[in-house]
Amino acid sequence: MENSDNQLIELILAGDRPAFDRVFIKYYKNLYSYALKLINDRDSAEEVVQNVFCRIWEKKHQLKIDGYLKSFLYRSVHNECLNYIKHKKVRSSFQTHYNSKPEHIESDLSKELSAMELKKQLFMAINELPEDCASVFQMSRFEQLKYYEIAEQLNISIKAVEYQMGKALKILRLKLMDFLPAFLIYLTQTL
Amino acid sequence: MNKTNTHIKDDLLVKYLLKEASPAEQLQVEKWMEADKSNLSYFNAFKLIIETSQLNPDNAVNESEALSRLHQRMQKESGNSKGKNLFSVSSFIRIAAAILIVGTIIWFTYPLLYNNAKLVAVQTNGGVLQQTLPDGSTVRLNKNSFISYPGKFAGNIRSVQLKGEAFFEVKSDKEQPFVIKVNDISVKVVGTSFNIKSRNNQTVVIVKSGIVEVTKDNEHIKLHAGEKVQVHPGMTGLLKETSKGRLYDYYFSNELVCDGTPLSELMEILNEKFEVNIIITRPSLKELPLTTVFHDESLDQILKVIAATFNINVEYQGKQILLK
Repeated sequence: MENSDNQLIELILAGDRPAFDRVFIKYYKNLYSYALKLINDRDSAEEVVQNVFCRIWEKKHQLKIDGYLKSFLYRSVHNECLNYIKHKKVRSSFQTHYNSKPEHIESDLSKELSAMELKKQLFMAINELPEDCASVFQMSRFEQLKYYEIAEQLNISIKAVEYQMGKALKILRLKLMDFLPAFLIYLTQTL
Repeated sequence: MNKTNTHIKDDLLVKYLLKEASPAEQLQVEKWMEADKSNLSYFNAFKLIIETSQLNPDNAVNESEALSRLHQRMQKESGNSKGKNLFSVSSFIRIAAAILIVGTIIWFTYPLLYNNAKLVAVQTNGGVLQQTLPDGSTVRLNKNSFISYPGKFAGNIRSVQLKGEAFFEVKSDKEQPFVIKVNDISVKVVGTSFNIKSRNNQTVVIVKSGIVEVTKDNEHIKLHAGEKVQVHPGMTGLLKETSKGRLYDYYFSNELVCDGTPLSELMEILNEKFEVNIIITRPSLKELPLTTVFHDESLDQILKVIAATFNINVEYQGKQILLK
């Protein structure tokens, strides 16, 4: 699979449009879901993924044949989402949402806020995982693949998959420390 | 030592959460959780991360439709900002080649330019060439074409002779109209952009912007943007037509913009562009309208798209390509 990604990149580097289309078809659903997770708006999520692919075609000569196409795509979509959040609607739509419901029960709102914050921080942290770790984590959590499937596709042992997942969670937990305790208290309260 | 222990624990916890652990391992994790409250909150942190990071792909998402929306957008954008493509590698080579050709021509024509009463003549063979005329107008000369003009435009008109194909962007000057003689017609403009193609005694003038006046014998016709006229030898009268799409400037824009363009028109251009001989064998195919944009696709890729769009067969027979 990673090999065929490399072949696709080679074709794209040579200006092959069908190969570019194949990459889009292959990853669109997951990238779109990823964007949707971060920006909660279907049209904008699609636009974000489009932006990424337009830029890839424009700057195709900068593509690297390193076996990390998927991670690269997720990372690109992630950064594009952040740009989107920074520049556009989300902030203002959240504000109108907030302003239009002044009697919104406060605890609900703070729950919503901390869940949003956690999600944002988590995806930020996933985005910063080391490449090998990120590939395994993405395949497990974004594509819901079983360990043996990940091992097969990446041509590594199941043990290595276990190790990368453990490492990923360890890193993520450490990075999210500041956001976790409050949330865990909330969890124990509701349970 | 301690470090390895924590590592094993992390791996195992994740396995447990993802339901990849064996029954024995499950038991091990559950015992560990019960042993200490801090273990449980450590576990819960993992659980929260695992749950929050799960993507639920939306099965209602249709990739092919999304792809066609992407295509539409890319077409629109490349139409708006052709400039961006200028910096792609292949264009860079083309530009470099063009500069080389221009340099060579200037080298040889410099004495002529210097003595501006004399005529400047430029002939292209294999490549496309952009040339700036003494009044600042530009000409893009397609391959196998010829143009001549005075070193300095004097008198009432700016007079140019053309053989072959060229795209003109003429600097506006109402006092001194720009007149191109091609075959037995003359094309008069004030300031505009348009393409003239004359091959095998047949001349086609297509206007991109502004107004162009075409004269043959004593007949005049005025063409506006998006209009064209075709002149065949022995033909009487001039007939205005609308040009569909934008195929005429392929040789420097590297784009083939089809907009309801009949298949036969596109094939004529492909024959020129790729120097092949494509023949449409079934007459009913000739008028099939095509709407799409090709950029730097190869001939094979373009023919594949056409074959798929109209469900026709492409056969390669020696030097000929047959569409059936």
